[in-house]
Amino acid sequence: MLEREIIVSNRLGLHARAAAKLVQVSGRYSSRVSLVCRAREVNAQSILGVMMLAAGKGVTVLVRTEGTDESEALTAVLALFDRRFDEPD
Amino acid sequence: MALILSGQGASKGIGIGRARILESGGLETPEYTLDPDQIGAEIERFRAAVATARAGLTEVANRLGPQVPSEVREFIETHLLMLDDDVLVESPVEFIRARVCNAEWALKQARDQLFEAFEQMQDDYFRSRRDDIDQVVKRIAAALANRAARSLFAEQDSLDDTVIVADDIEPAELTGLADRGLAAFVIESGGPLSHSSILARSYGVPCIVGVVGARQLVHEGQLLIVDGDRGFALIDPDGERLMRYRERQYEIKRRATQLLRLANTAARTADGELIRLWANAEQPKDLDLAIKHGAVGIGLFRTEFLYLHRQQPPGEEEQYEAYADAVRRMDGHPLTLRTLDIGADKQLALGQDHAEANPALGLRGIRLSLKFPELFRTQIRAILRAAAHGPVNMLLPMLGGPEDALRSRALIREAEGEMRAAGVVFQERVPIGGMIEVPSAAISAPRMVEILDFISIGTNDLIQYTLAIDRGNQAVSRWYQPLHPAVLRLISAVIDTAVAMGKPVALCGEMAGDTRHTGLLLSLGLTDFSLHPRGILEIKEKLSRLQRKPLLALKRRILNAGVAEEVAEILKSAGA
Repeated sequence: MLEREIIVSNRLGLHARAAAKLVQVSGRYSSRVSLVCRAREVNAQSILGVMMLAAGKGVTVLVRTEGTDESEALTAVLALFDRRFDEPD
Repeated sequence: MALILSGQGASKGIGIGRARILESGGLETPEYTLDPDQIGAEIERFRAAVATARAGLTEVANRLGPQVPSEVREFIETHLLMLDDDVLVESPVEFIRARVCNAEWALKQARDQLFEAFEQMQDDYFRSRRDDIDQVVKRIAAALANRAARSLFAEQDSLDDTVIVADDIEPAELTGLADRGLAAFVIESGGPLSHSSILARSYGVPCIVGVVGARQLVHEGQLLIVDGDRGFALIDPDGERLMRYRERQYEIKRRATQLLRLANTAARTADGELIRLWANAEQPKDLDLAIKHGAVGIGLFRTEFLYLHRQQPPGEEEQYEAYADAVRRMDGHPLTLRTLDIGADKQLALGQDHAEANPALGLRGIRLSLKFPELFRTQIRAILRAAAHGPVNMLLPMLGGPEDALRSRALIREAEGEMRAAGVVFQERVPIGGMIEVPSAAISAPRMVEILDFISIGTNDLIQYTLAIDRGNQAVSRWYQPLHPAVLRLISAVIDTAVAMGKPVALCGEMAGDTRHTGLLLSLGLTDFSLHPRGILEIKEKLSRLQRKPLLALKRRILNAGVAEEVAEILKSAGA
C-alpha cells in the first residue's frame, strides 16, 4: 500500500469536473485508489464519493493506492493534482 | 403595471421574448411493498432503468456537435460517471432488499440521503452539485416509468424570441439550443454557480436564476423582459418600458459589433505604431475564434490536448492529421505549434515510476522530450510534415539555456535528414523558436537568440521561477508580483537582445492579455503580444488609447525601480 499527502491547488477544488477526471484516471488501474480527507475515506472511483469530500482549494488530502500497479496509480493521480486537473487558472 | 420577478443575474444581457413554460420533469413517486419473491425482479427492473438512462445519455453525448461548448460535454460526462457510481446505483438496490419496497421509492430514499450529505456542505459551489444528482435521478425515474427523459423541443421548433421558464435546465437538454435564437432563461432553482447558469453563460444567453415560483407567476406566451445584468424579469411590460429595453438591447449589440469591427482593423497605438496581436490556443476550436477576432496568427498552440487522458502518446499519423487540420483552419495565417509541455506522468506510459517531489522543477517541457527522443521525434516529424500545408513555426518549451536549444535543434536536423532520405514530404527550414520562461534562459539571452529563429517570452513561469513563488499557493500569493523589477529587467533584456539581433520576439503569458499591463509592455519595447483569443479586441482597443513613444521614454525609470509599487506608480502617472 502506498500513501502520499497532497494539497488541492486548483481553483475550484475537487468539484464535479475535477472529480470526474480523478475517477477516469484511477479507473485505468487495477489497484484500489482512495482519498482520505478530514478522517473520511472514499473510493476515488466513485464520483459522488469524491464530491462528497467537498475538498476545496488548499485542503490536504491523502492519496492511498493498493494493488499490483499501486505505484503507477499513485503517480498518475498525483500528476493530475499537480496539473491542477488541467483547468485554466 | 408590469409584474417584477426577482432572482439573481446568472448570464449577462437583455432578453425579450414570449414565455415558454417547461413542466417539471419530476414524477410522483409511488410507494408500495413487494412480495419477498419479487425482490429479484424489482432489482432487475431498477438495473434495466439505469441502463436505459445511461444509453439515453450516451446517445446525447454522441450527438454533440463541435459547436457545443466544452462545459456541456463535461456535464454530460459527469452525469454518465454518476450512472456508473455504486454510491448512487447500489444503495437503491440495498433499499429494495432491506425494505422490500419498489424501485421508485428506493431511488427516492437514496437521493434524499445524498441530498442531505450535500446540504450540509459549507461551500456554495459544492452544495450546488445537488442539481447534478437530481438530474441523474430524474433520468432513472423516467426510465422506471417507461417514459423518455424530458426533451425540450422538437428539432424543427423555432425558438426565436422565446424565453424558457423552467425549474432547472439539464445540460443534455441544452445541446440542441445553441444557435436557435433563444432570447433568455428564467430558472427557478439554483444560484450563479449552478450548472444552468454556467451553461447559459457559455452559450451567451441572458439568464436569471433563483426565481422562486416563476412558473406560477408567468403564463405561457406572456411577453417577458429578462435583465441578466441586474437579475430580474418584467412580465407584460408597458410600451414605454419595452422601448427603453429595446434601446438598451440595441446599445449592447452595437458595442459588441463595434468591438468586433475592430477585428478587421490592424492593432495600432494612438501614435500610429503597428502592434501584432497573436492568439494562444489550446484546442482546435480556439483557432477559428482567433481568426474571427482578428489575430495575425497563432503565437502559441498548445499540443497537450492530443496527449492527455490516454494511455499511449498519439502516433505520428494522428498528430500529423491534427496539425494539418489546424494549418488548414488557419487559412494562410501563421501557426506556432509548441512541442509537448507536460510533466512526466504515467499517462504517457514512459516508464517513470516515482512521483516527483517538485514537478514544477522536474522532468517537464523540453526535458521530457530530450529524455525520450522517440516521443520527441514523432512530434517533430508530424509538425514538419504538417508545415507543408501552410506557414508553421515550431516552439520549444522550458528551455534551460543554450544546451537544450542546441540539442533540440540537433534532433530536429536528424529527423529532417531521415525524412529527406526516405522521400517523405515535409517543409524545409521551418522556423524553430524557444520559450524563454526559465531565468537561466533569460540570462543567456544573447546565445539563445543567436541559436533560435524566434523568441517567445512565457511570463507565467518566468515570474514563478524568478520569484520562487508557486502561483497556486495562497500563503505566498502576495509575493507573486508580475511587476517585480527583477522580472521586468529579465523581460526587457530578452526583448532588447532579440530586437538588436533582428529576431522576432513575442510575449505569451497572462500579462499579454491583461489591459492593466499593456502600457508597461509597450514601454519595454514589445510589439508582439500573444493572448487568449477572447481578449484580443479589448487589448486592441486599449492600444488605440496609448501613445507608444512617451511610454518608451519611461523604460529606464521603470527598470530602475526598487519595488513593484513604484513601477505601478510610474505607469499610473503616465496615464497607462
